[in-house]
Amino acid sequence: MADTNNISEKELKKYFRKIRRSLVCDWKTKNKILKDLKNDVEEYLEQNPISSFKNITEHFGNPETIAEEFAISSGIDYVKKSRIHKALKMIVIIFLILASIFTIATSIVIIGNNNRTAVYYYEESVDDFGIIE
Amino acid sequence: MSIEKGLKRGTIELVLLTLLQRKDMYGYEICQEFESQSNGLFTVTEGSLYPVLYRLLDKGYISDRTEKVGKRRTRVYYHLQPAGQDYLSAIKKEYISLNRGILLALGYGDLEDFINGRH
Repeated sequence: MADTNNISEKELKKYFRKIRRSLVCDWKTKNKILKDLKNDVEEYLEQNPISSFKNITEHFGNPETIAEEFAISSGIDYVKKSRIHKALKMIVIIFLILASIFTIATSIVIIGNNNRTAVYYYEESVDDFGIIE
Repeated sequence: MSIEKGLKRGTIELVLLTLLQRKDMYGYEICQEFESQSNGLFTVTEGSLYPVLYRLLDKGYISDRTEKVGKRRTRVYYHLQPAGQDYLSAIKKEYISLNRGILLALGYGDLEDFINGRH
């Protein structure tokens, strides 16, 4: 999508990224609808070259509105599905945090144990060579 | 409380297929035609339109083709299939019948009576 006078490529990418995150459907459908929406935004910009990013969001809607309309038109309970989505995201984040804490804690314990035993090993090696301290 | 949303959901297919009966159109064009043909009284957003298009595509009532526009852009045109024509005829009859039933239930002979408040 070419840069226009008032809209940056970055803004548009962020817009489409937000739409993708808001949609509550399978990834195949998400790809399809996003491809179609991008075409439509290009058409809009072609017909309205002096447009701002605000014009685009006013015409097409904000990401959540687009996702909600898509869900309603598809017969999906958007509120319920997006709550489930958010809950699953939260569960994954909490799991990753706990897994990280567990990994760090386990590493600290292992390193601590290794440090303690290393000293005795060194002392035994010195004895083996017959050097008496 | 508005009944517009419910009414729209039930009639998007009817209007969409009627538009495609006239000529093949691409998504953005369909939204524009909804607005221009209805004098701005029946507008549909892309978010509402595309699920309907995908559903009709899955059922074989419409088909799509991609055409190149300019150097980089492409357009997806939608075309009414014979099965879609049959479906359109059926839902048109349903719409007329339902419309008539609603007017009778409201106590009006026809739409003109309803608009003019003549019982």
